[in-house]
Amino acid sequence: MLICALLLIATYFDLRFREVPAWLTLTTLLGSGAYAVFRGLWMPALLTVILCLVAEMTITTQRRSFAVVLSVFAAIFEPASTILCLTLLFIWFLWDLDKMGGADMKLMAAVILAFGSPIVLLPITLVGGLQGLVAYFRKQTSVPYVFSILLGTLLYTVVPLIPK
Amino acid sequence: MRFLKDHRGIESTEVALIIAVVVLVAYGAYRLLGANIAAIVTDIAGKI
Repeated sequence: MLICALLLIATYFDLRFREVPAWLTLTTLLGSGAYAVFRGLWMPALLTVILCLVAEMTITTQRRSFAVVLSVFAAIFEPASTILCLTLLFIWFLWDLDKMGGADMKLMAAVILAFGSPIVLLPITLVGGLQGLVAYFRKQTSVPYVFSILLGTLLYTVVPLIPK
Repeated sequence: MRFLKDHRGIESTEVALIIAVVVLVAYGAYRLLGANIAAIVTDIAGKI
């Protein structure tokens, strides 16, 4: 529930300023990472740190291929976390392609690490898709995605229909 | 650091729609092939 409270504050900042302060996204990510390590999911948490460092590489092709190779290695070292590692790579890639904001990427990674399941991405992206559809018909070009992350996470937590 | 300094919380409407479709398709594939994927990765890990 703590992550939902943090997401609620992040949603306020996103709706008001279209930006989320670094202290909030990093606190959420660090807290979720620590919780994931505590639950034994050390490889996805380590991969998140590695992807943070890989992002510093200046040559694009080198950076992206390095991220893919390291994610595959992470999956091989801990086969139980394969889908989790690939999901983290997918989010990182969307951000690296400049298709997703940095705050969205960090908060989504935090939610995945906190719940230890990539299925949480399903309600988040479905709500995001619905939000995108509404924005499209209202002739808006962008959507505040943190709201979708909050609503999707709440749906995942509250609604028992989504398989956990 | 680029990763830490990016605070943007915004996405284009098209991207939000595309991500929803991609995740839905990936989830469907995972439900169909999830066990096989896990078996293949475990097999590779064992060989390494």
